Amino acid sequence: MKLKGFYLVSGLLLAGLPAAHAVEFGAFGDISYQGDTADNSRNSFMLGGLDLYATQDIDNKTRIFVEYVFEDPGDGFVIDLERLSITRAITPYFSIGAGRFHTPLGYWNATYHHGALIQDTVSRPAFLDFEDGEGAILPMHVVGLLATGNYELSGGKLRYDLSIANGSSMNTEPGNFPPEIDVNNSSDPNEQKTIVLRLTYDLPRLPLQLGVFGMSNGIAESGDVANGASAGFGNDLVNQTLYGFDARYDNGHFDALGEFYFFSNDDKVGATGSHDASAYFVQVAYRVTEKLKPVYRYESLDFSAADPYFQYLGTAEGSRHVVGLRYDLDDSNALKFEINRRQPSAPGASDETGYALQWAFLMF
Amino acid sequence: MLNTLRKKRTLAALALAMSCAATAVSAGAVVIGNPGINATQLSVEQVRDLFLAKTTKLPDGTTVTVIDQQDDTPIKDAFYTNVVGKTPRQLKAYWAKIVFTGQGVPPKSYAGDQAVKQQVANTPGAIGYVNDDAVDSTVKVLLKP
Repeated sequence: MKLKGFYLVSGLLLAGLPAAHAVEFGAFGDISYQGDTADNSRNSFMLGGLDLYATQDIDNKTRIFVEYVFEDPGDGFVIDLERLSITRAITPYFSIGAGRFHTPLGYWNATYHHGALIQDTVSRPAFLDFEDGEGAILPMHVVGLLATGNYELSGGKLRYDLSIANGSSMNTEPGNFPPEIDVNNSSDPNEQKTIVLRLTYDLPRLPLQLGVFGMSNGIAESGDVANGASAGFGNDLVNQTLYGFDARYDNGHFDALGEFYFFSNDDKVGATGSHDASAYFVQVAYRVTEKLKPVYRYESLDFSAADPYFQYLGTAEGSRHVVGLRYDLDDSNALKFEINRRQPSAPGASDETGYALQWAFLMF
Repeated sequence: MLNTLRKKRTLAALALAMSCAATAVSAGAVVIGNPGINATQLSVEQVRDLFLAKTTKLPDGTTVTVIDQQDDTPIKDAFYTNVVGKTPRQLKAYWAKIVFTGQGVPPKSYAGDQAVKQQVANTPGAIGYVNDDAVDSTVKVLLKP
């Protein structure tokens, strides 16, 4: 009898436990065929990153998330840790996480990353390229703490994301040109931390989300003066203040997304002072049928030629038109085609055209 | 020729039987709520939006906690296919994208009608779904598809 009672109580207790503590795995991947006039139109197949992610609720309030990408940047396969975080929900209004996160800037970077299937176009807006990619101008990840929370406000939903993280750095040694923006996973060259705040508001009766964001970031030197670096290790190269806003509308058929970034780059090495710059993109898409969705995006990046930040990075100013077509074969794989035309602002620079056909998928 | 006809008939009978089984499960599943919820009835659209986390509120402002059944169970497959409008595969793809982009997490799932009913009864603002014959006075029926 006692045993029966024990089994009964145990059974009831086990039945009451949520079955959601299993580790959930998934993988995104993509294969493309592409060409570009900048590469003399060398058409080629390309393996995109294989993005493996896993998540688990280790208790009712604590969640772990890990994401690795296997990719070949051109010189062999590498494994990149994209995200690693542990987050605890303290109250519905406050969660705190530690680890490596997407930098909470605009909608695009908060939502779209290596899961190519999720975004409608093959490419990201060029100025939101990953920090280890060509043309990257912003740290798309941060390593530190991230606080988030949601509030009901006037029938809508207000959300905040506040991050304090290791500062960025770059190695400006001539032999390392163009340098990558290093988000410093394991150490910070100096004591200056990056602070990022994003606020979004989902309107109550419209499928519209509005967002504002700001970032204070000191970009430090990680190279050696003896090798020609612009400053000593750990010294600030540029103090950057960034702010912007974004809007996302999606009624299920028509969607539009716009993001606007304004930079103030304060030269900490030379005597050139502060420089303003701006970047934006606007993207519109219309779902013609359940499976077919044409997309158009316009991107622009403007900065002063004397701005040391963009000089260090070797960034090209200009604009880009992207025209794409997405065809969803089902919920877990899609074909995407895209033509883009880049228009550099530099005198004498000629326009370049690229295209890509991509088959993106999700495994789970 | 005869063999082909027999095979077709067998397949048709099998398909009909499977269809009836799914309908039976669907017809038996009811959406239940914590007795503290003011609403007396929910629409299919409201249930769909709540179970897909497109909203977490009822029209009167009540915050809802969704309690789910375990994956790969007949009641869950039938409920999502027939009420929410997503096959099991579509549902998994949907949540994979939501989780990956940090926009939400799937509802907590519990094993069986008794566990779901117990959680709904004990959690203010909770809703779930169970087989019709599992309903008792500890919960209220909000939708009987």
